[in-house]
Amino acid sequence: MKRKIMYNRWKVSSEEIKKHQDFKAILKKVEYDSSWQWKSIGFWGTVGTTAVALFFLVIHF
Amino acid sequence: MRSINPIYHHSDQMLNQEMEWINSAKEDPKYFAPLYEKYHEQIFRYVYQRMEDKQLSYDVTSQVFLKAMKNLNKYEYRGIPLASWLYRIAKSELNQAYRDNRAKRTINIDNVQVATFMEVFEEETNSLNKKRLFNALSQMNGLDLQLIELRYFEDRPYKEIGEILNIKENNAKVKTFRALEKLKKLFNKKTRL
Repeated sequence: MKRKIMYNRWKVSSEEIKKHQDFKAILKKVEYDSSWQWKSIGFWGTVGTTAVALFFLVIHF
Repeated sequence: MRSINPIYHHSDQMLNQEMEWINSAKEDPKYFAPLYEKYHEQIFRYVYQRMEDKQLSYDVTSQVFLKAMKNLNKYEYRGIPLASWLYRIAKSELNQAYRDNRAKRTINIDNVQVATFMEVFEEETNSLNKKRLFNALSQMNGLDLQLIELRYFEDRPYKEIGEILNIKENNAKVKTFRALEKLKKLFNKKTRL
């Protein structure tokens, strides 16, 4: 892997780094992803239950 | 050399506080906020030390915290502080960025660090030796470069280096010493500059 050497680069101040903190945005992404996962589980749960019910209906009648 | 990780050495009280935050965050991610505030700067500096683009470094830092929060349930305190776990995630995110060609592997060095190496190598600090050092650094293998960066650029204790690289403290010490020897060899190798 090629590397680039940077000499005496300007140091980023702690204040500037702090300005870029955005915990709310990350939290939103975490919550969105976990809610999507729930929806996915719910969706596949419903599909699975329906499929099992249909299977028993077909076998009994 | 300056340190970029002044909060590595935790007292028992600080560790307990951190464990409380982690346990609360496992229940509800919003309680991760104090840990984010505590570690955001040092993770950003770790990433930016190895990258050229500042904005991309902020993005990668956010990605590190996103992954940490999503996988927090897998984190169990077994002697590895949360900071070291975050560095491991950062390392993997950085490698991903290099692989995707989003970022170029960058080595950041300043005049103080150059002078320190010259002192260790018992050489004069001049522009030719500076070029020789840069050339030697760019020729090192990935692990050796990491060890040099962690120890000599970022002034981290061997214990922490071991935790970040998943090796024992003593092993980190030996490997760092060998990496420095290799750097010295590359520095002394006659190459056209």
